[in-house]
Amino acid sequence: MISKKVILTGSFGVGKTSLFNRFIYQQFSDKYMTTIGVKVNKKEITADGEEVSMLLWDIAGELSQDKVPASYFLGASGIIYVVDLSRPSTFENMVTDVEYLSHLLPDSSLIIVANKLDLLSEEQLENIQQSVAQKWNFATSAKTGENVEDMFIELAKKLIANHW
Amino acid sequence: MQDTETQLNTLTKKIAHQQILMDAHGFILESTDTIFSTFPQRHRPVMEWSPFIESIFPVLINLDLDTPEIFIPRVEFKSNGVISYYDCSFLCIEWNGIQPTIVWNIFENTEDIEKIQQEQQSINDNRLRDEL
Repeated sequence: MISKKVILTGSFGVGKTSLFNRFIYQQFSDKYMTTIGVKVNKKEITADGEEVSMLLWDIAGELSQDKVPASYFLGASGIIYVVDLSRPSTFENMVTDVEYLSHLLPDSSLIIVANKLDLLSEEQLENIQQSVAQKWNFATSAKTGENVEDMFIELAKKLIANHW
Repeated sequence: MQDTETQLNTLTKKIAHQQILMDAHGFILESTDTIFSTFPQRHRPVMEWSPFIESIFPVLINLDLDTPEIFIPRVEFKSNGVISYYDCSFLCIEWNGIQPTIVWNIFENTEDIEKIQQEQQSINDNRLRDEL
């Protein structure tokens, strides 16, 4: 089994902890609790016939990624950058944040996630998709669980491909 | 006057600190056990009971004697349903002829972080209210 450190990052209130809790505990709470610092937990999943132990770092949301302590990123093989589909402000720094993260961890696998899919209609989703400069890889809902497992499996596949 | 008292309290506040020494395989060589007991876990590598250490161990074993100390602030640990926050630092040394020996310093910070958490919660709640 391979073990990989994965960072969940993005602005505050976008649902990083909810994605963390959905993936690890299959739980969801509507109550918003600000994350301070970092919490770490792990989950083992299988992708492409390989077992991967994902060591997830759920870190406090920051308006821009250069505010996150650089030491949090040490040794990370995967990054999940999360934005909130219901809050356009969380898209504002997406391009610069993704550039920053790609520069900081050039060998890591990066996935961009647009969360809170349950709050939008299909038409609204299409409109947002056309208006943003940086496209996301997955639109998810931590509330309903939609695409959450698929997103983590896709990341696991990327981690496996990068490992070998 | 009150400010001075607060400052004095801050200056004299005792910060709980634990130091753990690990070998290159993650086994504990020594621990002050001043925050939590490592005794029941001495027979197995730290990575087996701490996802936090497991996640950064590949970085730790590659530290050199001249690598500056790594500081990782505000790490949340949950034990028996109780959440605590610790600032952690890591350093590579030679100890009793064992090199590398990884020094893991743990500083208890729960009280301060809980205050920050409450303030940050209020700030973020207001920002979210303004945006939505």
